[in-house]
Amino acid sequence: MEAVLYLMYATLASSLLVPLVASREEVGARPAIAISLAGVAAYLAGALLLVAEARGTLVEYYDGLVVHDSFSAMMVLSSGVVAVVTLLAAAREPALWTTHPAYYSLLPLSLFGVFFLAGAMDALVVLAAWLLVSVISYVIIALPDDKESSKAAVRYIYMGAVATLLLGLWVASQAVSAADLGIQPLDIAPAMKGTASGLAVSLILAALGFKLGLVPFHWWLPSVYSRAHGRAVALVAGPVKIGFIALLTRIIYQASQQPFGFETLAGGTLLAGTLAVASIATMTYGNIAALTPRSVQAILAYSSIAHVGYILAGLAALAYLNTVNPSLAGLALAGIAIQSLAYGLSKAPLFSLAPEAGQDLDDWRGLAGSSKATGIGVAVLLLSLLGLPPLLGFWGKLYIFIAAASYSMLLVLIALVNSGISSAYYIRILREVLTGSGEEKIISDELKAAIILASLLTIALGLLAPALLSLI
Amino acid sequence: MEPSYVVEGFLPWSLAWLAPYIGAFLLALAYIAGSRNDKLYWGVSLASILASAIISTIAAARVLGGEPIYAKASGYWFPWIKVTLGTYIDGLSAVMALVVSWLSFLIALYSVKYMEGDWGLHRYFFFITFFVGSMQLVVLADNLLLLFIGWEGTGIASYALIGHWYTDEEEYWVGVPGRKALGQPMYFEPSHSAVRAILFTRIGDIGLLVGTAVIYLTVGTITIPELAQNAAAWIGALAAKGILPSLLLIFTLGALGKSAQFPFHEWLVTAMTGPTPVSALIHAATMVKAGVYFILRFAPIIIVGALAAGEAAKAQALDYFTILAGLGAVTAFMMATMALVSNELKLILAYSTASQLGYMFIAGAAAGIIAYHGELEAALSSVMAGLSHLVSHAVFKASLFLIAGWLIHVAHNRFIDTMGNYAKYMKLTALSLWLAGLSLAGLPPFSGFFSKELIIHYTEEAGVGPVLWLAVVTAGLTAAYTLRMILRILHLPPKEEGHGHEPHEAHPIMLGPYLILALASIILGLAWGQVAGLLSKAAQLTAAIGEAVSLEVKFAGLTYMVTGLVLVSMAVVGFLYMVARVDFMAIVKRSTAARLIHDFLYDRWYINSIYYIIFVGGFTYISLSLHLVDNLIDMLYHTAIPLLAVLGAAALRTLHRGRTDYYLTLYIYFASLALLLIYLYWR
Repeated sequence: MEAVLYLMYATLASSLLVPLVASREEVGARPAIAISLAGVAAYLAGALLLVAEARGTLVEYYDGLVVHDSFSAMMVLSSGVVAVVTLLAAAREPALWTTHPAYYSLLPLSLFGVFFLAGAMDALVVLAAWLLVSVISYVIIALPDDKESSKAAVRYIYMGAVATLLLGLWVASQAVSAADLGIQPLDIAPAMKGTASGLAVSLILAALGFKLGLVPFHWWLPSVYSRAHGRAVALVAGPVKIGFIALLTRIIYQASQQPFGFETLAGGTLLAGTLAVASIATMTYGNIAALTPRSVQAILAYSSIAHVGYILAGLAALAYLNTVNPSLAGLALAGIAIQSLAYGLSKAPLFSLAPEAGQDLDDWRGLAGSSKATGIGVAVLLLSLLGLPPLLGFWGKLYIFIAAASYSMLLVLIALVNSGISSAYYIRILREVLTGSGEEKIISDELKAAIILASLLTIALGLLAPALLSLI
Repeated sequence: MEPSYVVEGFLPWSLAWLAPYIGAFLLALAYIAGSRNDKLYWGVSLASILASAIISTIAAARVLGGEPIYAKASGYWFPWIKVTLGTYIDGLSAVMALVVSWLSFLIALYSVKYMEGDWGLHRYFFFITFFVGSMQLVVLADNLLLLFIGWEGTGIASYALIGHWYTDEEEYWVGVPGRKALGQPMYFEPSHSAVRAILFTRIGDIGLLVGTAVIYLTVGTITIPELAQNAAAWIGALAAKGILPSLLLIFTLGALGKSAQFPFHEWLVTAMTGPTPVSALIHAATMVKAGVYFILRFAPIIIVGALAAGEAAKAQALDYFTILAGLGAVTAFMMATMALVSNELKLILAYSTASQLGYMFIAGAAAGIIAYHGELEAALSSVMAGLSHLVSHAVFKASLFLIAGWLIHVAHNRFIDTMGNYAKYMKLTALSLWLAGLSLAGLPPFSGFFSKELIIHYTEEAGVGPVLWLAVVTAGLTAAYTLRMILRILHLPPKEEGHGHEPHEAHPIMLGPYLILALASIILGLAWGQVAGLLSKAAQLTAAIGEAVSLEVKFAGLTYMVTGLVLVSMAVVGFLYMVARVDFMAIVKRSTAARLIHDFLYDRWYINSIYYIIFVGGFTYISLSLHLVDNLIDMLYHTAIPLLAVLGAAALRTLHRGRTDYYLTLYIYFASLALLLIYLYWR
């Protein structure tokens, strides 16, 4: 049990070590990358250990301030896997930035934060982990040398400050409604307390919704994701985002739990209804807005919003099932876990590709012609996002939709229609990648490796997904 | 009483239908191998049909000697529905197989000369051989599934041979080019006719399949001898549910379609686009008789079953047989009136075929009605009367068609107006035409007289007035149109100049078959006593009949009346054409009333046009409507939705103007809104 923590500390240590070895220019980026990779490896080892320990039981750290269950352990592992792909994709180009030591240092550090985000059982831990990971995100977006990145980072910081304010209010509301700051089940039985619970839910949705890109708190996301440097976005949209999804899931799970024994049906249904509305708004917005941009990065940005919409559908199902029939809640959790991993595995390499292949859709034309492996890998990743069986993305959507079907068929129907709409823009990219011939693209070997690794994982895990289900 | 049989091995008896199939298979192989040797094709075809004929003859000799044959493969063919693979030859199928195989052989022989030099000769002989195998399978199958396979096989062959000249030259059409009725074209190309034939019969075949399925679900078997043994069980079960008449009608739809009975008669008329031997074989002598065979096969089973199953079943069976008799009578009469005015030789014969098939349906149906009144023996005799007419008609109609084939070749034209005075040039052909024609007209002592009189006799016994009167009137009409045709062709000068050859006698290979058949039609008549005895013997050995029947014509009042009517009718026609020399076409041109009647009959009671208006027009309308819907859907997908998407996407993205203060405002504004809404709804 302690071993997991030590490995996490090793990750932290690696991130602190990178600036030391990389501060001298003549050393080059290699040692920094190696140390960063060692940190990620330590994290992965810890995550695997955690998954093993958390099977069917709760693992408590720091006197119960951080608690991992099988779901959060899986999310920790997923963010690690996506981080490997992200780091691999970033193994050459960030080294050209003057700020590269910071990138290789912050990557393991953000993973360290994810461990706490995913396992937080206390409002103050949430706040602390949030601050750590948020600041890392701002810095990473600002790292590249170009002006667009700086502009995007400034915007991100401003928005983040307001969001952090709302999170602070949420912490306060937790203090009001319960004796300690533990993340509590919702208690809306007495009229006034119900209002307090509503306040808490709207605050956390506004705050975490900002991070995830939940409509209508998503305003910053398209502009930051589509204008910042693709590699920086890959980290924010990949491993880090998985951490925030895990946190939101933890809070919804706790909120819809039953210890109060109050008329939870009402509470769970209210929460589920709220999440379902947010889900529909988010996926529809994302999918429709993604239909026409010419910039691949913008399409990917909007599609990220859409994917959060699907995950929200899973969260709605979770809130409902957890109050009505907790034994089925696992299906929703499985859906969310698989969907998050599929999302991260696809998004991290695709965002990383944008700086090398080009921003515009035209730049991606004939990618498969330049490099067959890259083209096919990109196709697999796009199709996984679309949800084509037997790729990993299919299973995520399937489990989420099955779970959601027990809550509302209408929600599932709308989600299915949305999946249909999304095919329009995924295929739009796919067509450019697979057909036509553009100018010859030079894709770095590291990035190629990252794309191939991600697509192989997408295929292999897709084939194994039904077996994976039992681990969550 | 059931005839008893001993089950034997599948071979050799099954070769009666397998032999032509094997022949057809060999021809197909030869074709694929690239052989285009004409002799090989007709040689294999004739040999395999002859083999079938010889086996059928040996089988018939044994069966009529008192030993029915049931030859089947061991085990089940389709175990999950307990269907065997077998050949069942009782009295009825023995007679059928005998007639089918020998007629097929004679007509195939005729075809050797007739089709000489035709560009589709190889295809022709393949399909003729395939047809004979299928037809033999229909009459010899021991179960309904096997029967259905043969049934569809004949349908495919019929389709292919009607459309044999699928390049659709005008000389192969049916109808007057350019003629329209009610705005619908009344002329048909071979390819069009072929599709009509398969569509019309397919409607009925679905009924046959559905009926078979229901019977299987009711009684658990589709083997014909078992259906006969358990007749009371399944007839009773269906009657108990009150669905016996409707189910039997559905079951019979296939037969109605195959035998071109109203309302499915239209396809047979236009089937005349096929080569004439095909018309003789498939559309006169054999395939169109499959429906009659089906009725003769099942009428006794239904009768025996209904009698055993009780009053409800009897009453319901009566409904079914009455409807059937009505359809037969309407067809017989309607088609005879059309034959009166037609000027296309093959069409006259086609109308006549459908009309005579109507008689056979009446015979089968009358049996059921008579049985209801309690006279089982008379009922079963009526069934055999149907068989006797089937046999005599097959002989004389095949002869007439083969003659027509030669005459059309001579005149190089299908209209009888261009033919004339042929008696002067071809004595033997003229003799054949007279013999076969008088048999059709129903003059004693020709075979056609006896068999038709028998049917009219049993129709009288059935006692359904309208059916009887239609049958009698039709007899008069038949005599009239037959004599008109004979006189027009043989003894009157041509009305129009043809472009034909100098008329001369046919090649012996062509002359032989029709002369033999024409002579057979009078010999069968002269020896009616023996024929009746043979058929009576066959009846004794037929499933669900099993007893001797009397097929001697009893000369009663009605017999004299009908014969008198036939004679008067012929006398009038003879007088009008030969003595008065009335020009009917001139009258039609002058008189509006005459023209209306003529056009009504010539255009086949406008039934074809009505079908086209309702079905073709209706489906065209539906198709156009769907096309419109389709276009709207296309527009929705290709124009409306993309436009909406483009506008929606643009609208959603205009909110992102790239200004941080603006985003902050939106964020705070929506956070407040969410707070407000949750506050309102979560109370």
